[in-house]
Amino acid sequence: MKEGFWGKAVRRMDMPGEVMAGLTKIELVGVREIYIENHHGLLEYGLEEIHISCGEGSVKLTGEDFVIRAMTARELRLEGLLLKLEFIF
Amino acid sequence: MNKIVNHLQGFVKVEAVGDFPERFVNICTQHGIAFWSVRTLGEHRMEAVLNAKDLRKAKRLAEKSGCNLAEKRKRGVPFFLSGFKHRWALIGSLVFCLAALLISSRYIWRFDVEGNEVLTQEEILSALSEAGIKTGSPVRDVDIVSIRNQMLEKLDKLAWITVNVSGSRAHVVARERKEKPEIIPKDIPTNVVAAKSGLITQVDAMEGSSKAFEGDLVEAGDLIVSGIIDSETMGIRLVHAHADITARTWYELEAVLPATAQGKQYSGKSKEYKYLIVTGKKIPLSFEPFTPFEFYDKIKTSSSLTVPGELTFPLTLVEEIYAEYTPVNYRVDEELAETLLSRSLENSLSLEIDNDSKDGKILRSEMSCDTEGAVFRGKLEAECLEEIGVMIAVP
Repeated sequence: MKEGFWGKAVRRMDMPGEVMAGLTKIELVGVREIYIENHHGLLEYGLEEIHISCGEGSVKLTGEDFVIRAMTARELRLEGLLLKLEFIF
Repeated sequence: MNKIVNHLQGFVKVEAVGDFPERFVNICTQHGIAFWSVRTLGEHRMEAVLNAKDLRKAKRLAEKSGCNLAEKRKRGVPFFLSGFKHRWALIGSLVFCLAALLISSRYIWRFDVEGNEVLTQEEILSALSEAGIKTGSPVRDVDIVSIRNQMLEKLDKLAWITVNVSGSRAHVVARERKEKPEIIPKDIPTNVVAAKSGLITQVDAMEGSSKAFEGDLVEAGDLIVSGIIDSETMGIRLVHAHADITARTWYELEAVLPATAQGKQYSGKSKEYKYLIVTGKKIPLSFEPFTPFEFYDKIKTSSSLTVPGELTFPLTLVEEIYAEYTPVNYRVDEELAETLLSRSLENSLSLEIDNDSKDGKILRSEMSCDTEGAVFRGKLEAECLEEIGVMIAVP
């Protein structure tokens, strides 16, 4: 996948992408907590599979017993057993 | 913390049913509605929790996104309070209580007086009332300086007074004037005479001519140190004689106690009378017994309505119990009689030897108690060491 202008710029200038270019940031705490910043909405939600839009593509999370602990326009906190994380472009 | 805030704001658990409930969630987040505990309940069904204030907006957005929104559970303070919406009596009582609390805290309902020994609490409160501060007076009317001036003018025995108002309670702190001892001016010639009979053990004459010495026996009124000095060189001159005269004194004190005393035998019967005192007015809660019993004790207990802190309400519940008893005569035990007589005689002796702040010492004392017919007679013989000199003006 081709890297966008802002993505390239922040990488070259060594700046935090999630702040400067609004890129999606994913944080994992062990395998039970997932924190996603700058998401673009929920595409599909199930107990074992979640698709989240990241603007330039989507993230597919596979696991067990997923629950959205909190969700705002910018942030998303998930809980559940994460088995697989995939980027789909 | 979040949980407390959520409870204060109120929250609703909703269920979104539609072809694409994720779309509803996305639209809501874009419109600033925050969700938590989002769970899928199967295909096309999702449940989530949101703030109570966002519910109306969420319903509108649910329609827009083609979903049906159903409320499943409501929790939090706003929903708890909405349960009282039509309970007017409860709301009215709450408002009345709050109003009563606010209004009554602006007035003085209780006085605490401290620091008075000679003056009675009633005298101080009565003078305060004349100065304009009494039960029910507004707190803002308390002008300490004016009250102090008026009080010092009204009560001669008062040296200083202050009123500290805390909530609806007034703490009155009083200091009384100490009586000045009678002092003979130094320019007046004086003699030192014996106030009591005794055997002189020590004469410390600061000024004057000693007329009695250690080992002399003196009677009350005898001259010990004279203020008239007659010398060959200077002739007769008058001085302000003063001296410390210590002497051994003897006392024989007697006291009697009846051998029979009247006691009370309670029958167990009692009558109650209750009433409320509201801002000084008596409101009976039961009938006042006209003549409860022939012989009775009246036991009065009063309890004021207070809230923690310094707030007192002008409401006092008074309970009077009239307990019946039968008077019975009983013979006083000899041991008890001796104890009572001994205590009484020792007190009398202390009063005799402690005067003008010069404490005397008891060197030896002997107590005897005899029964004489219908009385116990106690006798105390004591030998003391004390200050007996007293100054009087030269006649």
